[in-house]
Amino acid sequence: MSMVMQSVPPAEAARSVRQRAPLFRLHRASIWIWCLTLAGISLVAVAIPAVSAGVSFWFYLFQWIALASALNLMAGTTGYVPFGFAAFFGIGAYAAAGLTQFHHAPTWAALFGAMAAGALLAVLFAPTLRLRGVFFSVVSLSLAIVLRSLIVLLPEDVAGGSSGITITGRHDPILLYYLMVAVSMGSVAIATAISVTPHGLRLKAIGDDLHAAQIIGVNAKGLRLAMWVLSGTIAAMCGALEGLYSSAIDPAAAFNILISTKAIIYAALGGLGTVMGPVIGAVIMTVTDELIWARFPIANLFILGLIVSATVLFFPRGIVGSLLQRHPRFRRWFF
Amino acid sequence: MSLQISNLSKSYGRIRALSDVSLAVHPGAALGIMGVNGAGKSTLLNCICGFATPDAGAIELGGRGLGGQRPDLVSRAGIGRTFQVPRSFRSLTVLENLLVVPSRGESPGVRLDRAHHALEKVRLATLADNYAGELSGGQQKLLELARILILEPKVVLFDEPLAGMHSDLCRVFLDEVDEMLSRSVAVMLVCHDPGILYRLARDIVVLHEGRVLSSGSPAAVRNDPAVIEAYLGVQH
Amino acid sequence: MTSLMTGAIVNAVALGILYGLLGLSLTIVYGAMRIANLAHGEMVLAGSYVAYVVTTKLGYSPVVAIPTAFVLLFVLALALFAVAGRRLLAARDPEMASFLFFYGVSLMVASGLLFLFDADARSVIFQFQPLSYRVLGLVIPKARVVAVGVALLLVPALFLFLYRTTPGKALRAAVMNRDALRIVGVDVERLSLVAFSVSAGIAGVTGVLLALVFPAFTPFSGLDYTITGFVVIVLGGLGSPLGAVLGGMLFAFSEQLTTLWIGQSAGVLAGFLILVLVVAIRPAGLIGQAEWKS
Repeated sequence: MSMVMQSVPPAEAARSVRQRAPLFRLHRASIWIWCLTLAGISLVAVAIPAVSAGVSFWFYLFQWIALASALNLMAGTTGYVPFGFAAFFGIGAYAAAGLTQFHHAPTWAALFGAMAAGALLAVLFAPTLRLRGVFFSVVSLSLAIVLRSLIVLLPEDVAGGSSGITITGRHDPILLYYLMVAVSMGSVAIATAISVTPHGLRLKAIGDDLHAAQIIGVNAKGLRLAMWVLSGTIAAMCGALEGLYSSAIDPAAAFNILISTKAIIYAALGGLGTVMGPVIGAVIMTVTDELIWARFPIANLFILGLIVSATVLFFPRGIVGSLLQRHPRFRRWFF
Repeated sequence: MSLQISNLSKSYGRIRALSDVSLAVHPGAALGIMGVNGAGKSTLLNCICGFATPDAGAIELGGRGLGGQRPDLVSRAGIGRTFQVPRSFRSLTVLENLLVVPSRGESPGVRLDRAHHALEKVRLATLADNYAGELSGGQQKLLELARILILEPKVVLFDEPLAGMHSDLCRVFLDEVDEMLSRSVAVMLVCHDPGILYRLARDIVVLHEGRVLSSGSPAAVRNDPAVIEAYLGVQH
Repeated sequence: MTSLMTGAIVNAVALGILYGLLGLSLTIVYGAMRIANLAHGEMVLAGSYVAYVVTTKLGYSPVVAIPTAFVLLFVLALALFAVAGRRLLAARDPEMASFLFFYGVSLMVASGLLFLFDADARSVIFQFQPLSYRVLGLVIPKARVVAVGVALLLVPALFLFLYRTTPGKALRAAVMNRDALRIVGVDVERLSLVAFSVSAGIAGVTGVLLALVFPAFTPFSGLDYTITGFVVIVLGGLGSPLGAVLGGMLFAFSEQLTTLWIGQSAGVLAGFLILVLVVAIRPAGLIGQAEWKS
């Protein structure tokens, strides 16, 4: 369409291609700038406990960045929308809280336990990846509900029953906050690393057209499974840290479907399938959420809903996606 | 390497899409597959590529069985295909559409040069940085062709390669097919238009209602009364 | 034991037909527009609140609430479609876009209901004469009989619409191939408008009927209805009207019988496990066509 007209002359195109050899359409500098930005964010994050009275807001900000990025690893590239994403968060929270409270595990062991639980759950749920579209979303949601009901049915000294687990030992909130920053920045770094390798291209190709990707020799099922496990593991770690941070978990909160939907919405708002999008979406929405809660407690949900619906109608590819769609010159800088 | 198909059958429910189809595609030769809509052409392609599992029969590439394998493994074994409606990766740029092809141990620099060379061949070099979704239908067909050039398969299956293509672009396609044949690639051309096949193919197989109705040289097929009846008789 | 069993079966039939109705209205929209209406439960809930206002606030019979809910939801859906319909249908991935769009709508409707009616559970107060019937030793509330009766009228009426009228046939054809429909000259946008509005109207009526059977609901009950609706249609096969009814029955039966045999919490579990099992064996649902997304 109109973009085709703006194409550059052949000689110039050839030169620009050679300059950015292994990084595809991206300008090499854009990746450096992005990495420096992440480093800057991490530095600011480290300094926050020294200057801020509480870290709660910041803890949840980084949690949502991590969850939105983790969800995007799966949904953004392959087009699968896991409405049961909360299952990973919940299983992580339960693994960490159970290990801490009933087995007196140290923090690191609780976190490892949560990671393992998340990865295991992802492998267990892997057969659902055969389904597509709404089928996948609904079955994934059902599995989350099944898991929640099962945890309620487990004996009280394993999973605390319907009232959940209250962790009596004390955890340093600042340490947990730092761990959350690490998980969050780590998952964004992983997303960045994937997107600048051919694997990133292959994942996008699977999202665009599964059969066409397979027919050029892309092992779609293997790649998809890897992303699924990775994204589930990150979500489980978020759940573990949040569980320890709040020191009380219950089935309704740990498996709250709002965890899935918020992660989906934040990622979609920023731009599914981009690396920067979920970060930007999570930051904007967490801040907005905070402001709306403070000023309009009753209208909070209404405004959240309005933002979501309006974004879908007017920026269907999210903030970053729409920017790249409308301004081709940014395609070498944002990703 | 030859692609050998023997006694292939496939049913969808009560509908027999293919029954007892045998054919062979040989290196350096173009085999045309002709047939009206519903003759079983697409099912044949889907069985070869691993999108559908045949009920019976064998698909062999150079003597190695392919039936029922995953599409990506079929591709790695050396079979490439295009689609009737071109399927490019619309959220990748034109260049990235070629770089996405899994490499077989080349360095990134070599891959990039090859990708660029392929784009020049199919006259898409100036559009390298555009999203593939922004291309016209004909340009997308050329992009698929470029993808085949990068893959360098031993057998290529073209599904209606010229449908809806501008005559200038057809030239580009025909030149590339000639070059492939000279490099001993086996080519299968699936087409509903007899005219194109009579010109290009060395042998033609006519499918009708899932069966091989006729096969042989273009001249033999053209004069086969069964083919004439299927193409003219049924419609009138 | 046997009377408990009969009771559970009667309950399951009543619930199953209502779940079937819920799925039927959802599947019409999915089939025609290939969009997922995540606000469907809120539309149902709005119907329940209509029943609440008509009966409890205004003192009319719940029967009056049925046409009121239908008309109100029908009109609201027309307005919503006017705002968003074209953009959603033109989206790169209509399924995903609609998922998110309707999630936003569901938040707006839920908070609107919260603003109007507070967070407490509301119930519908109505007087039927007689209050209940006694059949084969079972006490069956008349409200339930009315709800099932209306549903039993509506389901065949919908089937007549889908299988005997031109717009209905076009809707079923849209499930299979939208492009072909466009080629033969059907105005797909208009068809979508009809499908969406009719579906919303039926959702409203379903809400009234559900309010008669489960008299308590809060502004946040919508999501449960949405989930049930999607489970039912995925179970039956997306876009298949008969599948929706079968799916509703299967879901209700597994839920009710497990509750009877094992207990309440297992009842919730059973329905979802059945879904997972069915989809594991038949990925397209009970009577759905495979290969949905081309």
